[in-house]
Amino acid sequence: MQAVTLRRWGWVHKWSSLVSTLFILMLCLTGLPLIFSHEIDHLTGNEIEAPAMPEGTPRAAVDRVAAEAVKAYPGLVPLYFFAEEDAPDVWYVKLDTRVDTDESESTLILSDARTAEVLGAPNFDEGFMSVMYRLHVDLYAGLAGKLFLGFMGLLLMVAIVSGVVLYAPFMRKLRFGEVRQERTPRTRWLDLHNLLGIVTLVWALAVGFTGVINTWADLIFQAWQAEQVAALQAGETRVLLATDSSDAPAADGSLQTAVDRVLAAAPDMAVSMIAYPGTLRATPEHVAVILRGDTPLTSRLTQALLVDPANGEVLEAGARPWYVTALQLSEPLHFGDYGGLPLKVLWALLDILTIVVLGSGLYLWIKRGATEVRS
Amino acid sequence: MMRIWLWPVLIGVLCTLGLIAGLVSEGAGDWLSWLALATPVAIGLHGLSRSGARPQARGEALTPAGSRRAGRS
Repeated sequence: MQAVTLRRWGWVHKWSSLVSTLFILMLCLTGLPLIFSHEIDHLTGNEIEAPAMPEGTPRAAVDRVAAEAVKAYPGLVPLYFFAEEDAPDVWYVKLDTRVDTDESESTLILSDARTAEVLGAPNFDEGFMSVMYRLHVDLYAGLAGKLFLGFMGLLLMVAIVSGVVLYAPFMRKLRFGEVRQERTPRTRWLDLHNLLGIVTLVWALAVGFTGVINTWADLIFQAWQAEQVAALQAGETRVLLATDSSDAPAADGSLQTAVDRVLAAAPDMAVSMIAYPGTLRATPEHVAVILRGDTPLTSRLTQALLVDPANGEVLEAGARPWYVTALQLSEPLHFGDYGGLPLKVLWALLDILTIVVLGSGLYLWIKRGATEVRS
Repeated sequence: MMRIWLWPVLIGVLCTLGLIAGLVSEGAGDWLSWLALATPVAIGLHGLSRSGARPQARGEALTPAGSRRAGRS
């Protein structure tokens, strides 16, 4: 490689790293406990569980769950019901003052899916894990904070790619994995920086880039909602269950019947989420029911159906667009939550190795001078 | 060129396989993803221990003799 080209890549690597390093270090450190947030909640007793009941206990209508939630939290309205795959007896219910807020001040509660009783609100707003979460996700600055961290993530991508370009000239006289012992500490750290950087490359690119995509989640759902509304207005929808279909209970205006009609239209799918009309995930007139399949992949790639609670018509307004697929695949790849505890441990170790890469990079910059890049 | 990139490319392909395997299949896929992603961790930790350097020690605190000793252990 020519000296001038190499110097340019060196400049790109130096500045993309320097600008983003402190933020990426913060993201790595706050991300470490977040990998294990489920386990930590469980151990600290922060997890709210539904009482044991005989198997097959009938479930309450979601309308009753909503009514009990509103009774417990006067002044708020329900926005979403979430169902977790591993906790079939509870509904997570998100409440806010209106259906169309930015949801940054919303309240999330747990309700018993069988008795409709409110079980409690997880302590998401205070404590160590909440601080870790907010620093990691939005720096307490809402969408602006998310987009800022996303930009830092993009700089990290630039730093990684330019680092790979610089790897070859540095390794010309070295074997793979060689860490020179006899030289100065700076040389040793340079070799370590190169080694750890190159072995964590694919993981860091995957987690970094999926993290960037996650910062765009709000924008992606807004775009999808707009697309669905446009498809509805243009009449470009596929009717999965007509108003007068006899395959399902007739619409009676209730949410439960609306959901039952969606499930009748999509057999073999399970409810992942129910969104009230007017929320980010639905349209102004329709309830959106987000369904998931039962394989590791289809449980992430959800299908959204719309149902009019008044007449019971079930629609699909366009297939899932590619950018929603990208977002839904980005979540597990960022969180590392798709391969049990061993994968989480590996995620944590790779995160620690990345912290060493960042720290050593900073050290190499501070101790720069005599051993500047020579082509 | 080949000499420099052989191992990085192999490790990169392995990691890519590991990241995808756990997503598309349960059971065997999980095992594949654990083994594949353990590779960069093992190589990285081995490199760290051989250099005798600890992240918090920043390298300077350790003498070359100390790091050579660590290399044999």
